[in-house]
Amino acid sequence: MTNEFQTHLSEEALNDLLIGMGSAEAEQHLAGCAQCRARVELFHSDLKLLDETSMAWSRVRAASMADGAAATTSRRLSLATMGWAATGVALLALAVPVWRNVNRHADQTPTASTPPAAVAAEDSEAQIAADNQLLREIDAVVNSHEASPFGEPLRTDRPRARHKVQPE
Amino acid sequence: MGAYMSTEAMDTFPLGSLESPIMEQARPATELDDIDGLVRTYRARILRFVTYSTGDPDLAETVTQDTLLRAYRGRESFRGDCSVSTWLTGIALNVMRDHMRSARFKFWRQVHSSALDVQEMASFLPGSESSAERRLLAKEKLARLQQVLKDLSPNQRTVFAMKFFEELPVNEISAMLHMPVNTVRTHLHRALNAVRARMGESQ
Repeated sequence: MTNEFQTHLSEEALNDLLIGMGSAEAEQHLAGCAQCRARVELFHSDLKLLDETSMAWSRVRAASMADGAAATTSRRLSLATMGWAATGVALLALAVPVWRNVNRHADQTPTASTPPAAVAAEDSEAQIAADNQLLREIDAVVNSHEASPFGEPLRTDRPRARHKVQPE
Repeated sequence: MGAYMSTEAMDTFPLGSLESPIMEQARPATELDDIDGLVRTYRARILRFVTYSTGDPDLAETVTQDTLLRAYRGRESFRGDCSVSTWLTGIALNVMRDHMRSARFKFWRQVHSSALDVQEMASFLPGSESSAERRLLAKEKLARLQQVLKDLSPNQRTVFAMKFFEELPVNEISAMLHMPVNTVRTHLHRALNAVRARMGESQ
């Protein structure tokens, strides 16, 4: 037996005993020392109070967990249903303006019966017709100047003004 | 208890070996096959351990449910080399670690904190404390104990709960937490010094 145990157990030795790592000497001292035994018993008494109370609390809390879990599941299901409903409404709210927009553009854009290529062809034919008309008018004007094939080229009928410039 | 176990502290609980799916031979039917029995027998015990370890009863409920579910799903990996209670404690430590690492937990920790209510706990004092005076004294003592445990570091609190609630030997705690025995011993000594000093004040 060391000097440490000739009086009482040190804090360290007592702690080691409480956690199950006490030396044989400490165990031997404890068996013969009422004061050290009282310290150990005090700790065990406090621990017992905490153990019993906390376990009783935990049992009640654990029992209420089942109800809580059911309520949570129910709440989650309700939230999920509400979520899907809200999503549906949101999609509808988005779909209506989009559908309207598509229809409005449909009035201004080619339909299935008049594909864009055909429309382009129509535009092209009209343009060609207009161009041809212009060419015909030009031909008519040009032909009117062909009365005398012997005339000077590029000569017009308009008499050329020949004025003598008077000196001032 | 308002203090949570830090993510860093939880890093010291790598208990993968306790949940190893390796199975060397066919496992005989055990209590793990009965989920209702498993819940009935161990839920309160796990809940208490996690509550004291995390300091948050609400989080403890979630961790407890997840622990039991994970244990039931992984029951084939239970090799029987430790008790079911110890195996569940190991899974609970892993689940706690996973929860505390998650971004969601870190976010909610900022905005929400539920603490163990001492008054609520006191209403569960043992019936043996019959007289009003004795009940009052026990209530005060309990409040002091709760406060001491709250003030411990997360590691000290977890190790204390494993030793004195789960009644695990130090070498087993050491193995489960992958901590040297001396580190576990040091945590326990500090926790005991705090508890005994605080409780000694009232004597």
